[in-house]
Amino acid sequence: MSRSKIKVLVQSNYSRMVTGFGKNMKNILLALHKDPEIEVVEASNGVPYGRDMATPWESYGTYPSNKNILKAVEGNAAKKRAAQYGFYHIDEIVEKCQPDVFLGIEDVWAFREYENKPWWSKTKKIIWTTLDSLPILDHALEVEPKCDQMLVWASFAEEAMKKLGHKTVSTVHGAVDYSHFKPLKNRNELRNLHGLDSDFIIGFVFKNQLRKSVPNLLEGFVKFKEKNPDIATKLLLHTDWGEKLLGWDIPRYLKEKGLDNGEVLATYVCHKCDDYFIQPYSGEDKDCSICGSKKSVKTKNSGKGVGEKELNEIYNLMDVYCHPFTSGGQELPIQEAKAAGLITLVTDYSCGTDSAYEHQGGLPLSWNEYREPSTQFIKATTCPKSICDRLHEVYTMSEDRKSKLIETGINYVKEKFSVQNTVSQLKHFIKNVKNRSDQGKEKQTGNKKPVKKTSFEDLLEDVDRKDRIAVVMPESGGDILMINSLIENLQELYPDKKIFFFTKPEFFDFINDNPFIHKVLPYNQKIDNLLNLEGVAEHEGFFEIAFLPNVGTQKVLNYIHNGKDKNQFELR
Amino acid sequence: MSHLVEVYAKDLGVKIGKPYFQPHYFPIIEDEYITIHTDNKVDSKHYDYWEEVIIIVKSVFEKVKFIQIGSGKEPKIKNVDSFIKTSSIKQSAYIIDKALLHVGIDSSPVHIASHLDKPIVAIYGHTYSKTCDPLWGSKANHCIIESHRNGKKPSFSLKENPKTINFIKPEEIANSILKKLDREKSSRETLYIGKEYKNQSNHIIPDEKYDISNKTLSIRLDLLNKEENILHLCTKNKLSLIIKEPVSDLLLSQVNISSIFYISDSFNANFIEKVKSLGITINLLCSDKEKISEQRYVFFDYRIFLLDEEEKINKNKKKITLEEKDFSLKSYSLFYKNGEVYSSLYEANGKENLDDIFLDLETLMIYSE
Repeated sequence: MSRSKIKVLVQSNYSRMVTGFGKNMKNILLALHKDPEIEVVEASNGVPYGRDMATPWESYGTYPSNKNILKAVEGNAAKKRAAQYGFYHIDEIVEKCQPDVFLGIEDVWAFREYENKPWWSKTKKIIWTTLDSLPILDHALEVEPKCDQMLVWASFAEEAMKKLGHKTVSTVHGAVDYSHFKPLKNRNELRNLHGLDSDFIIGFVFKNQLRKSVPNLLEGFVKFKEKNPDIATKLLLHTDWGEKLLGWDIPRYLKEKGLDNGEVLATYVCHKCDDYFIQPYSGEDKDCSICGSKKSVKTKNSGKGVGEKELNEIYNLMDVYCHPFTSGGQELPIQEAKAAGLITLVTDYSCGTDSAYEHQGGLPLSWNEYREPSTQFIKATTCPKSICDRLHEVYTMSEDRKSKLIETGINYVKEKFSVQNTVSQLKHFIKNVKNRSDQGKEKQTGNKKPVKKTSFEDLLEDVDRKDRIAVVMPESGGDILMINSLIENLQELYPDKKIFFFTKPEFFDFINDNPFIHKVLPYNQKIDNLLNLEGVAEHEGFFEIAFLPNVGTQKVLNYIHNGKDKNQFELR
Repeated sequence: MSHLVEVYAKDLGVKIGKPYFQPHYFPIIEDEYITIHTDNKVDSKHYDYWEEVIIIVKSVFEKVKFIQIGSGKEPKIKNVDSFIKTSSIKQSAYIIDKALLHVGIDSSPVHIASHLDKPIVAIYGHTYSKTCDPLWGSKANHCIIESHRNGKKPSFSLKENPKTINFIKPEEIANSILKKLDREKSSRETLYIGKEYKNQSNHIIPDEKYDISNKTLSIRLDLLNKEENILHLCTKNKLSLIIKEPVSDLLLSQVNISSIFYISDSFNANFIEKVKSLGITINLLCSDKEKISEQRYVFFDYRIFLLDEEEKINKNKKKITLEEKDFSLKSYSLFYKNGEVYSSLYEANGKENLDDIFLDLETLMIYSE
C-alpha cells in the first residue's frame, strides 16, 4: 500500500532540549509537520523509551527505560554512550513506524554499527552530521558510502570530504529560528537597566567547554584594554561559570590575567522566577532579589538557561560579538548574534569559515594550528592579538561601515541559515533519496576483546592447589543460605579438600557459621570464569574444582522450565 | 519443578541438608508479635498494601503487634508497632525466632524463619513461588501466596508495571495470618485498589474559607471558581491551582503558587505567558481530543496532555461494577467541601453521582465488609 506522504523518522536530540541539535530538531520538525508532502516521526535521544513526549507528531524516546538494560549499560562507557545515542531502541522504533526515510542528525559516531542493523539495508537513510576538524574523521568516511546521502553542517567539511573522493556530500546548515533575534529599539534602555551605561560591551555566548577559547579571549581582552586605556569596556560571558569539571575555571583565569571581577560579567538566572541578571560573577546558588527565593540563582547552564526573547535582549546589550574556538559544528550563537544586529568576530577555521568574513557580516580572527593530543586532529588556537586588533577595528569603525556590515550579517543569516532555507534543502534531499534505487552495502568486522586474567593466589596459599574447592555465590541472602545447607554434604563427598566460599561481604553472615567452610572470601566479578579458576592450557588455575551455581540462576535464568521439570533421583 | 536449592544441589552433586546459621541475641520486650519484612531493592517484590494487611489482622486480633525487621534501608511500613533496625541479619533472626509468625516478601528472612521452623506467610509475584519458597521446617507451618498475575506467567523482571504482587488482596494475606494463628477470618473484601491509591493530596473546593496551614493544597477552581475564598490560604500553604479559565492577576501575584494545571480545549496565550513570566510552572491539559494536535503545535514549548473526563469515566466503568453494592472508600486524598473533610470527591458531592468515583478511581481503595 503506498502512502500519500513521505514518512520520515528523524533521530536527534529531543526537540525541547536546549542544545544545538535540539533547537535544530524543533525548528525542522515544526516546519516539516506542516508540510503536506511529509509525515514526521521524532526519535529523541536522551528521552526514556515509552515516555509520552506530548509532541504534535508521533514521537519516541530512544533511551532505555528497562531497569535490566540500564543495569547492563551502567559502568560500561561504550554501552552507555550507545544507549544515549538510541542504539538499543531505534530498531523497535523503525519497526513500529516503518519510515520511508531515516534522517539521523547527530555526531557521526552516534551511527556506529547502524549498518549492521536489520532495517538499515531496507530503509533509505540520510545522515546529517557535524564534522568540525581536519583531517576528516575516519568513521565519517566509512559511513558516507553506507548511507544514501550524507549532509554536513559546515561547508569546510563538505570541501574536505569531496577532496577525499566523497563527491555527493552536501552542506545543509542547522536550522536557526532567527525570528526571535533582532536589533531592539529599546537597546539603550536595556543597557541602563543592567547598569551598563555607555561601556563598550564585548559578548560571548557559549556552553562552557574546553573547545571554546576562553583564555585566548581573556588575553585578547587584556591586550585591548592595555592598548585602549581610555575606553570603558566590559566582557560579558554568557555561560555556565560553575562548570569547572568539563569546562574552564573562569574565575581562576580572571585572577591569572589580573582582571578585576567587575570587568567581566556573567548572566545569572533564577530557577524559580526565570528572571535574569547581568552581574560580575560572585559564585553560584545566590538568593533571588526579585522573587526572594533562596539559593535559586545560578549562572545559566544546560539544564536552565534564558528563553529566546531574553537571549535576544542579552545580545542587544552587546556592542560586538566575539567567538574564538578551536573547532565547531555550527556554533548557533554566531548566527543568533548576527541576526540580533552584531558584528561577529569569529575564528576562521572549521565552521567559522561560514561566518567569519565580511560578506557574511563578520571579521575573521586569525589562529595558529595545534594538534589535539588525544585525537591528533587539527585545532585552532585563536591569536589574542587578532582579537585585540579586531575589537579595536570595530570600536573605531565608521558608523556607515558598521551599519553595512550589520545589515550584511542579518541578510546572510536569513538567506543561508533560516529554517525555511534549511527545510527546503532537506526536503529536496528527502524526496531525492526516497526515489533513489537501493545501493550495495559494506560489511564490517569487530575486534575481539582480550581475555583478562585474575590473580589472587595470596588468599589461597595455605592450601595446596589440588586440595582446593571453590563455591561462588555472589548474592543474595536466601541463595547463600541454600548453598549453606549443601556444604556439609559437599565436604563429606570430598573429605580431603578445603572449601573456599566467595560472596559479597554483606552476605558473610549467611555462611560464616558453617564449620565445613575453610574460608569465606569477598566476591569479585573476575571470579566468574570457570576456566580461570580451574585452569586451562598452560594456566594451571587456582582450584581443583570450582562451582559457579550462580551462573544458571543469576547470570542466566536456566532453571525455570515453566515449572515442568522433574528429577529422577531424590535430592532431599 | 526444581526449587533453586535443587538446582544448586545438582550443580554441586550433593543432597540438601540444613544450613548452619545461629541467631544472635537482640533485646526485645514484646511477647505476642508478628515479624514483617519488605524491601524495595527489587521493586517487583515490594508489596504496596502492607498497612491494610495490618489493619485487617488487628481488627480481629487486636493485641498482636507487628514488628518490622531489616537493616533500616527498607521502606517503613505504615501502621507497624515498631521498626527494629539491626546491624546484622543474625539479630533479625533472633527477633524472628521469638515471634508468633513471620510474614513477608520472598527474601532471606523467610528462609531464616523456615530454618527456625516458624509459621510463615510469604508472598510472591514476579517469580514462581515453588522455585524459591521456604525450604526447611514443617510444611504445615508455611502459607505461600502467589499472585494470579491475571493468568500470565511470571515476568522475572525487576520492575513491573502493573506490579503483579499488588494483585494479591490484603485480606488474603491477613486471613492467612489469622488462620495460622487460629483466629477467625476477617469479613473484609477488597473490590478495587487504584494505581495512585497511596498518593497523598489535599483538594480544596472553595465554597468557603478553610483554615489550613503548612500543607500542599490543590485548589479546585475547575470545580468551583471562587477565588475570593482562597486568597487567605496563599501565605500559609503551598498551592497548586486547577483551573478551566484564566485567573485574576491578584491571585497570580501570590507568592506560594507553585503550579497551575490549566484545562481547556483552546488555551489563552497571554495568560500562559503571564504565568510563565511569574515563574509559576504551568501544565496544560487539553480537554478535546480533536484539538490537541493543533494546540500542541501552537504551544510547542509546553507538553500538552489529553484530559478527556468522559472517556476516563467510561474506561473506568469497565474496571469495576458498583451499582447495587454496599461499599466503602478509602484514599490518601482529602477533599474540603461544605465545611467538612471527605476522603473522596464522591463523598464530598453527597454520594450522588457514581461518576465521581470513576473519575478518581485510581486514587481510591474500594472494599466491602
